[in-house]
Amino acid sequence: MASNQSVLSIENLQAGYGGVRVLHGVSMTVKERSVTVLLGTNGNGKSTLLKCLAGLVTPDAGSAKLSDDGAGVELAGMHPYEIVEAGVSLVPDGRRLFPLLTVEENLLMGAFKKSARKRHKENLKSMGELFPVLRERKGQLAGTLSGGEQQMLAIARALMSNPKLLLIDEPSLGLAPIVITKLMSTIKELRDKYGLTILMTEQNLPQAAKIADWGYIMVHGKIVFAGDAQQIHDNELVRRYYLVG
Amino acid sequence: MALDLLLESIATGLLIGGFYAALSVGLTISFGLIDIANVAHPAFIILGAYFALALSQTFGIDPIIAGLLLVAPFYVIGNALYLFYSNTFERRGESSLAGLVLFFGLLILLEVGMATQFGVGLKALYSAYGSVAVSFGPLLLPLRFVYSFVAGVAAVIALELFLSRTFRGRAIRAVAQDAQAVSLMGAKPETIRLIAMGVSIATAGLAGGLVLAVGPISPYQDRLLIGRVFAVVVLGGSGSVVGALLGGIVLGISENIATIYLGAGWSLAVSAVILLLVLALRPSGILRR
Ligand SMILES: Nc1ncnc2c1ncn2[C@@H]1O[C@H](COP(=O)(O)OP(=O)(O)OP(=O)(O)O)[C@@H](O)[C@H]1O
Ligand SMILES: [Mg+2]
Repeated sequence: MASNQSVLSIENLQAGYGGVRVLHGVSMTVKERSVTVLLGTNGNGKSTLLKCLAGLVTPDAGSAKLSDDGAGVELAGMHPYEIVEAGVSLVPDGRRLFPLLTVEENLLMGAFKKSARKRHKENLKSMGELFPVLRERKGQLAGTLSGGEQQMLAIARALMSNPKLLLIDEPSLGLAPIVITKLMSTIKELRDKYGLTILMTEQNLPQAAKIADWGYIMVHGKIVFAGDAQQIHDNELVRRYYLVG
Repeated sequence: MALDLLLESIATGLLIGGFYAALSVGLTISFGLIDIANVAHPAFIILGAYFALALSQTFGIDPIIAGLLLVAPFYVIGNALYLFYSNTFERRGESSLAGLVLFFGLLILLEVGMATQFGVGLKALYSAYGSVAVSFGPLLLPLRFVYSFVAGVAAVIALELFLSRTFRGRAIRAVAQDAQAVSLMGAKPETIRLIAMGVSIATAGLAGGLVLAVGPISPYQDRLLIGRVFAVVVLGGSGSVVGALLGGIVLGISENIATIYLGAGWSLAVSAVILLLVLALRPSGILRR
């Protein structure tokens, strides 16, 4: 289960688009081997935060340090391809698969970085075990997969680079409840069996709460709540915000 | 008798199709995969033909071998061209129209440069097989077209393997679909495009050797090729290397048949007609998947 070592420490991160500030000083940590969930409704800045971590948006201020056995790597301001090299992989909003490449070719794209190329055969094999449906459909064009299969492929593709930290942006978006349940248990398996550290954003609190070790709630670009699984469950704010339980 | 003639023109058209594929594969990569409408592509081919002529005359080598030797230096020229293009136009987001003007200007410069350097007259290399024909059943096929067909098909196979079996090749196909997602895979999109443009112009070097092997060359000859290469690329589906081979073969055979029934003057119009028909009826090309 989750240890106390933190893999990612975000401090006072500020970012936006053009003149519009979206993140107003976000601070949070992601512990090793944990599933940390960033909750928030539409337009509060969850994707923007993950984009900052993946290098797609350059923060205006603040820091996001990836701890690499003691030595910290500052992610803020790095290029996306350098961040992948450093061991952080993003499953983006909308999956962003290559629709005209086959399932297997998409997976191999995930293994582009040098250290991952060497291991692409064994990684391909583990992805086939983790997601048998991808193995069955390896020759099919990614654009023709169902929504759930596309989400699995997007996650598997990100895993092909052997990340230390996996970022997933709203995996449940557009999926049926039963597919979401299965997806969440797969994400849990990534933590339990493979020791991965995962930071994911979600709007679907009940589903995400089942597997979360830690939770944060973001409102208008600020963290308004932080707590462990139990606290998310009990907290009045969470309940009010999501009208659950 | 008439049937023999028809068969022979179909067979020669097929061979010429392989030659056309070699002229067009580079363009299907730049135009179809990295969105660079390099109208100067045929001018680079003619430049390659002049360099191949110089190599052949200096070292007494076969023009197709000379074309192969040009692959590496033309790759570097393609890299340089991409760097210039990306630093001036692509970065400012003015890629399409302004880029077209850039490549059109480059085309004129290359033509004028070749005309002043090499003279406007026709130049030819009298290679050993230049006028030899081989018989194939009842057909008599010019050996120079057989060789250029083999070279063109080999180039298409090599490129198809590169694009489907290597990490960089797959990234070139991926960058056409989603450049930002490519950066999330740990690849730098600019570097991928740099490689793609290198490969594109490298094929122009080889194609130059083939043009020289097939017939005499002149500085403005690119103008006879430009309609053909765009027709082949569009016919095969922009970005498809195998499509370029099929497109080349369709064009080669159609031109030959038009020559028999309508006269040689019509063969240049064939590519224009094909281009317009495909764009109107089947814009994604014959290989749509
Ligand atoms: N590329 C962009 N350019 C300008 N504004 C943007 C851009 N992307 C997002 N925004 C704005 O930033 C704010 C936060 O958006 P963001 O996508 O981070 O929210 P989110 O929490 O992920 O929402 P959702 O749950 O709908 O995905 C929104 O107001 C949005 O309109
Ligand atoms: Mg979002």
